[in-house]
Amino acid sequence: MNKALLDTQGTIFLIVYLVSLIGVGIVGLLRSKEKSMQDFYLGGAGFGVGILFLTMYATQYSGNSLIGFAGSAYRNGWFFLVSVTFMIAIVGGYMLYAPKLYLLSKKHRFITIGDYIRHRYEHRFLTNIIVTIGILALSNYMLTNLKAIGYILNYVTGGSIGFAEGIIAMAIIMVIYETLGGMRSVAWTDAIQGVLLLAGVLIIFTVIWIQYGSLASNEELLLQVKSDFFRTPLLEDKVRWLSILIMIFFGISVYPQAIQRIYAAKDTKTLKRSFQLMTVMPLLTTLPLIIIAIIGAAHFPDLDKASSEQIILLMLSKLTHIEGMSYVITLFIAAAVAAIMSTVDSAMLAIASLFTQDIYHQHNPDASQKKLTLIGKLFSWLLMAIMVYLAIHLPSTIWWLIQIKLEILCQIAPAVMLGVHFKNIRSTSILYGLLLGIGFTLVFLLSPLPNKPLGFHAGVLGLALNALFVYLHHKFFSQLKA
Amino acid sequence: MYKLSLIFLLFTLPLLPSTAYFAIPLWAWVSVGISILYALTLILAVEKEWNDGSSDE
Repeated sequence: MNKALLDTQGTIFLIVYLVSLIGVGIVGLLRSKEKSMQDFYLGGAGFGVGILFLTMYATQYSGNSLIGFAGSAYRNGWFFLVSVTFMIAIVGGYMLYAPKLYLLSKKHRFITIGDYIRHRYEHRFLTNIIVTIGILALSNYMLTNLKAIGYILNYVTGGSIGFAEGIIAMAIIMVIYETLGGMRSVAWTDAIQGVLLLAGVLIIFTVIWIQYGSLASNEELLLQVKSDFFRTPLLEDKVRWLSILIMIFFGISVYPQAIQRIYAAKDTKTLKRSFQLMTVMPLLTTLPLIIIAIIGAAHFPDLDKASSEQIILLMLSKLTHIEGMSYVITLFIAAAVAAIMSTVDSAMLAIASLFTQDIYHQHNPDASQKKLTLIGKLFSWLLMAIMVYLAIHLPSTIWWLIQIKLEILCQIAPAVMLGVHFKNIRSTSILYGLLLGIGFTLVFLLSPLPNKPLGFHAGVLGLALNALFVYLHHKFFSQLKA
Repeated sequence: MYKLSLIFLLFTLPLLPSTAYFAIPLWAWVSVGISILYALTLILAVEKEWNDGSSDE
């Protein structure tokens, strides 16, 4: 086991920070106005720019952004600049539906994506499929991030906190503040976590730039040890780039927790400002992480995949002789933990709302708002217990199954994006298109066929087929009617 | 403006050669530059083209 990276002061800081999150949960409880689903799951739908932007930011930038993005940039070099573009493109995806969906949500008091689908298409099976896809995609988010937090705490404490212990402790903290104040607590803790994440990335970037040298000063070294970073992109690289952009544009922009945050905005102006700020964040978060990883690749060129995920920690750990570095390491660890927690708590809240509103409430239409809120809280505890168990015990051999979530999730984009613009589109057009898209994607992902036909992700081609079918089915029945 | 942003998005693809300038390949400089333009046009599109006319009822 490695040497502990957190010293006593760092450990105390982390504990104080984590305990303060429960304090935020208590404040969220005290500030709740009524025992209703709207109040609990959307924080009363009255968030201003500051909180809305920070909760969107912290939720979108998961632990994967901080740890995984650096690892990917280390392995893929400059090609991973695609992540800067795709993080910006998510806002482009929102723009296709958020302006109209926001108004509808205010008018009809939507809480979940299922509320909108039910209202728009009045088709139970279609609603159930979309809610199920949402729950599965979010469960994947929770699982991968819980696993990541277990590994990080185990690594930075030099094994003092075991993998399972770390997951359980963090899960308990998250579920406590989430069930205390619902979206209010989650958004407020996200705001703290968002500030920590941004400050952490920028400070670490500055430290590494000063200590390891700028890109230009590492140019010769990079050309020598990582010459593959400088090969001219081939046609297959360009196709891959395009495929990633399409999948993220249509996939991440329809995440149920993102839609929940759109509903939670106080007014249109708040939502617009939050989106505009989100557009800038990849340049301040993703881009610095890529540059750090590429400088790291020049100095530590021979890391395997697992070690490359820890490139930032490795670079910082070599600077411990410098006074004050323990603070920077603590900041990085706190930022990583914050990024993961803000993603897990948002996913948990979104799943609990999908279960309560779109499953339980539909089978118990007479249940009071107070009872529904209570059911949602109990479900959160049950859900977290299941996720913790799976995160600790799920064999890594089936991990590939949950990696396909984005390719399936992007199939719901036509239902959301076309639905708000074209009121004549039938539910059956959307349903058959969705089933065709999912079927096509799964055939390629679950069979020996190549999972990237023609260089594109199967989910991207599935989405194209899905949208084409919706168009043709709609045209055919429109002409038949005429 | 939104349509223009989509054109910028398409042109972020790595289309140019890899001659390095300050340790960054030419295509990467251009890709980041166009990504910044993409972000700016999106900000303007959010400001000017926020079309919230409801399709409902």
